Amino acid sequence: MSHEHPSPNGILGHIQRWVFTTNHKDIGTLYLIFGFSMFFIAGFMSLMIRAQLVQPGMQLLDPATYNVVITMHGLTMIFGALMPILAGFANWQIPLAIGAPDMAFPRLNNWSFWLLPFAFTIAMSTLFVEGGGPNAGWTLYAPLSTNYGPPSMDYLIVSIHMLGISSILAAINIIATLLNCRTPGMSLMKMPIFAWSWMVTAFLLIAVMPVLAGTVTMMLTDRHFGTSFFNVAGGGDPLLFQHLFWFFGHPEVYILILPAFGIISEIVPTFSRKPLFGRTSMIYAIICIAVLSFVVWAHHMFTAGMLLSTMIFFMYTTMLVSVPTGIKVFNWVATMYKGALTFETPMLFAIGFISMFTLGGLTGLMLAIAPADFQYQDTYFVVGHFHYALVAGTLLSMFAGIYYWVPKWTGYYYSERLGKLHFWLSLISVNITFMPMHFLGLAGMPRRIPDYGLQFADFNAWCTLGAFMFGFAQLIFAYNMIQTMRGKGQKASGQVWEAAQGLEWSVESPAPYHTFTTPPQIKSET
Amino acid sequence: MKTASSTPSGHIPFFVTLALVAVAVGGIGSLHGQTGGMWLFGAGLISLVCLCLCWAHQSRALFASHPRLAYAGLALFLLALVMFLFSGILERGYDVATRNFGVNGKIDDHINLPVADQSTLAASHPVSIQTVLHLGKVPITLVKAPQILNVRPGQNFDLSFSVKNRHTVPIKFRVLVSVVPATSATAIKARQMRYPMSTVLGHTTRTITLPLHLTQEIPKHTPSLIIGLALFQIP
Repeated sequence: MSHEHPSPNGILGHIQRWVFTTNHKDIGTLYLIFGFSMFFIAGFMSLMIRAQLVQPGMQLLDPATYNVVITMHGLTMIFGALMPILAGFANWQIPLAIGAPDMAFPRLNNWSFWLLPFAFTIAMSTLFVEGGGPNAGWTLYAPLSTNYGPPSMDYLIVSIHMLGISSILAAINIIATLLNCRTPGMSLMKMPIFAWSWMVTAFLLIAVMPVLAGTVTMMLTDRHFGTSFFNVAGGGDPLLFQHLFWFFGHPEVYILILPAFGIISEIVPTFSRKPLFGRTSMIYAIICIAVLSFVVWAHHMFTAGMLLSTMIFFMYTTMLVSVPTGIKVFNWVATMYKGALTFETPMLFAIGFISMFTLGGLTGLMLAIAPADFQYQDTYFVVGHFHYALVAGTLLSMFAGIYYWVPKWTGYYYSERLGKLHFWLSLISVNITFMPMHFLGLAGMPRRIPDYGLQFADFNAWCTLGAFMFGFAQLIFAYNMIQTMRGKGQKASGQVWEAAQGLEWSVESPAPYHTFTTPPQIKSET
Repeated sequence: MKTASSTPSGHIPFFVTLALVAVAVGGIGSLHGQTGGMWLFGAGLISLVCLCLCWAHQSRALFASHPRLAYAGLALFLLALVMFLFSGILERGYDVATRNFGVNGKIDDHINLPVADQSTLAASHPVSIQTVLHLGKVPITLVKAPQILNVRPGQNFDLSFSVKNRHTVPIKFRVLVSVVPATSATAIKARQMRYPMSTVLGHTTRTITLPLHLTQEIPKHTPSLIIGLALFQIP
């Protein structure tokens, strides 16, 4: 992306520029390109899964390979695609939004990014080592991953350690930037909502990624150093793994969604031409969601044999989380109410996110009811639920953010026609893919199976059709973005969007390599 | 406020990444007995330490002029470290919770419990205790299963079963005790170590006895309990 960077000489110069950069815009670009590359790789894996499940019988993959593919699909999508893309948004936008010249620790920023490609090279290499790739699901439950895991599990463990270090360092950088580098006059409550969402997300990352690191360390010591944290024969407990993992795992899903909330909270006011409704309550809702995320983890374990009192506690706290989330949804809708709405591509994706994520949240409420969850657990109902939340939720918000900010990053508008085509194809195909999964789950189709009974055939065929449609839609997106980066679109002004508010819109498009070398003054509410 | 450095170079961070990768890959390679794994691990570790010292030295002057940034970074790093140690605390906490609250039907060890006097025993309702024994993959044969017992709250009782080892090598195993319903798990106490380890020599039969105690905590509407005994072989 062109933004008046210093011109390097030759291939070596270009490589050195990107490898050793500490500029937040360059690192944001690197995160985004890496994240979307991993998105396409994990997306290809998802198409392999859907091709396997298009009809009853074994089509493409043997069961062992299928287990590896679903494991790597989940890990790559969460840690390789969604989190880096969100970090890319953070790197690009946070300094611009708060009037800072760069992140607080630019070299730490470089280190945070470059850990990712190496970590994923190690993770992907596990597919080719003797014994096969990791096959315990993205949740890596013990004792399947400890006693019975292949040798590649150890490489996956170090890969997860590196990913964790990357996320923790990025989180430290973001918090330090937001607390210390805001332009004069910008108090915490005047900070943009996207910045707030990332502040809270960064604290969540620092709180829970080390717990994952501790858990996988215990896995490694169980596998090689004679400990028995999760081994009953040695006095341990496999259920301990589940508690530890989900203590990380549930805040993790809020790490994936809170920045998405922040993106939507920036886009909806712009295209409604109204300030965000209930701005203060939105900030407190983000904080509430983050705090509550620590006390809901065992709703992933309702069928594990917990005490009734424990299940009741987690059922109530899980249902409670829907309250601040509902506040946010109502506030977005209230922002749009009686606004001068226009439906450019970012707004379409934002509205798509609000409706689709609400559906995902409703099925989440169904899963929160412990006795009902006894039927839903480990069925395709859960698969449908979390794919609505992550694909129709986080991913749609990412597309919204890309279309919203790409004119600022590149200096050129994308093709609105292709953008709208991408939106409608994605929205329709996401529903074709994941809505039938709820009914498959209710009908009794279990998760993580390479083959299934005849009674599930029709809906699975629909799911596969939708998945391939969705994959095709992303090719349209990729083409649109490549053309935009090559400068084939209409030139964008600094303001880009008529009603956009925020410091990032006060600089020209594309944003200069160095911005806000002199801090801007904030005089009024932003 | 300006950042600690306007255009710092990313050379050191990138090479720190490479060193960390060498440590990770070399470490796992040496665990798997791969040639050169230990050398790669050692070289990576030395490089990592040297590069980090270099980085810290370069940053010293910058942080001296921006102490707030330095303290913020340090505090957040310490928070991450505390949360890493917290996972160890969670592990311990889970262990305590399972023993004290009967989580997952697990029982507590409580050595030298007093036996209730005869008048208290006579007044309480008897509880029928059945046992389900699961040998799993332990290569032994069950000779005599545990019997159904009628026990009064406050009474000690023993669960015994006999197994035969038909192989020549001794077989070592551990017995995991659990209670159904799990709500009654706190009413059963072990009178010796929670997971007793037993050895059966080759071509011998051995009687395994588990000394237990039924406390007064057993709910009055619980006329029977099922104690599950699961055996796990220890290599």
